[in-house]
Amino acid sequence: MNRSLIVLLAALFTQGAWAETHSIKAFLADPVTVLDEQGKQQRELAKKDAPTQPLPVLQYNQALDLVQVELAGQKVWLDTMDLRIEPPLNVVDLPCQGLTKSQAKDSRNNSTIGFGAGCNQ
Amino acid sequence: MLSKPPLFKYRRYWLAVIIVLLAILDPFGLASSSDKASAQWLNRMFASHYPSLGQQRVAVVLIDDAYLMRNNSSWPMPYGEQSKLFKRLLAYKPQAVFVDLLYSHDHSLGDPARGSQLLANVFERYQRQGIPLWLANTGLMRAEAGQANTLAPFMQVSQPALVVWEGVDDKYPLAMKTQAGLLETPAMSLYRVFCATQHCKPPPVDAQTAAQRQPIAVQWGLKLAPEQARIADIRHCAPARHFLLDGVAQFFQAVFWKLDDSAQARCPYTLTLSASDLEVSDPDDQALVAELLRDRLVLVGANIASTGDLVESPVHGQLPGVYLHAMALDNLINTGMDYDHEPANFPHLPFNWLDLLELGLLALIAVLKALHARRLAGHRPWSRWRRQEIWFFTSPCPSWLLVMSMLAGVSVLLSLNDITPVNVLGIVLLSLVLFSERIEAFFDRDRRVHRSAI
Repeated sequence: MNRSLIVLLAALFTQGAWAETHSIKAFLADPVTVLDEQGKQQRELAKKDAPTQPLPVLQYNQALDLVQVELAGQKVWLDTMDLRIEPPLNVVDLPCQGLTKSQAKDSRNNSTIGFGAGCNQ
Repeated sequence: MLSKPPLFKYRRYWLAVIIVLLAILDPFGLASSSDKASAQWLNRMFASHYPSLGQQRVAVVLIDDAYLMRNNSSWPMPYGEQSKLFKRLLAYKPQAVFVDLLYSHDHSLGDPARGSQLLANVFERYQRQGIPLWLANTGLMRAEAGQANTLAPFMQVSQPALVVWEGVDDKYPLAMKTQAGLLETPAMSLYRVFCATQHCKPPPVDAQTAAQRQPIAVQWGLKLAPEQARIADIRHCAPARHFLLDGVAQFFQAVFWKLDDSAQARCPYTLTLSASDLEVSDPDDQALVAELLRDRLVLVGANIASTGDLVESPVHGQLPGVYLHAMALDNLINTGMDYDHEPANFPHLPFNWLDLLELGLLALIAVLKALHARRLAGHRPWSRWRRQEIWFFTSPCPSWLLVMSMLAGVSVLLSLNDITPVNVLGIVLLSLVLFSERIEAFFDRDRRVHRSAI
């Protein structure tokens, strides 16, 4: 019983199972850029040649904001900015943050920023 | 009474030579400081009158601390994070992009998942889609004597734009000769893109010609872009006032700056989007961002605490460095190659004809002052127009008005010829020497009254 529950939960929360619920409703860019898993451009796909039916998202690479789909029997990666995905992968509202203000002429900051995460420190 | 003594004594000519040398050699930087103060004051006076043509074509995307915090990221940003940012920008189809970030050290070594190739892949997409992309370049030979410059993978997928230079003071060069060859600055490179699609005054034919031109004396604008309020909260930005009202306020602020303890800080002139704005997911918001960025010349810069890239604007105070490139580009779009500049120095001499013009105005003040002294000493008029001469030198006011008229005339002529103005503040202050007798008399008045009473 416990083992079945664990398997069920694991299936529910794996990226693949999660991604199945999202699908591409429209291609916004023309042409659409077809990428590899590192975001390198492989080829371009004319919008007229793109599937007209909703296309299920197989995987979502959150780190690069790319989705994997199957096109003509081949698994490829697409840029989310070229697509309308429903339900949306991320919901981000316009922040409407305060416009950057200049610093006073005599303002001084006598420091240098330290390590970033990229330095693995 | 002497008939016609010489206007100046022999030793006075030596004094004049010393003054000329002081003006040219600029000891302690006094003359150049006063020149700079005068130019900055004039820029502030006319900032609200700055034309908006360039503002409609240029935009800045700013990576700020708020963006890093929102994305739980860090600085320098991991390449994956940067690749997301730049692919979003790419989707909004700008006309051309300059990235004011120096990719000189690979901070992902030994970590292929975060490798610089992720970002290079996105930059390559710009190339393939025909969107010109420039990356900041120091012009130095990388790794020679520890010199830093853009990494090779990024050089292959972008063009270099020079961001480091010297020998032009606070001016902005179009191109410079560097260790890596002749390089154009971001403003010049982006202006070429602008000219390829829009009617403009033609840019120099090549980098060699651009390098020979005088650098830009960058003029800063004041009024915010009308679209700015659609994308950001601008309630804290000082609203622009009428041109004359602002000029008067600037004048009093310049004179009484010691008494004004309100630190000068304003919002930038160039249309600015935060990197966070590019993340929006709502189709309407995306349409708004697309409207603001499509076919614009976009400059990407950073405003991160303690990163140190700040530039001083006479109008704003200190701004992130990317705004200097944006403003220089704005100047070029507005005026083409007729931008404001200083004349070139005479060959092998550290001064130009504008310096001589300033000395000429000083000489005029000195001559007028000497003629006043003659008149006060009771010497006979020296010209054929005796009555006019006596009237002219009865009071220092006509002489002062003559100097001011000449100064105004010269300033207008220089402005029409796109030359930086003479040291207006310096000349105005020195011209007050014409009133020295009047001023002394005013303060000695009580003493004279006291003596006559005795």
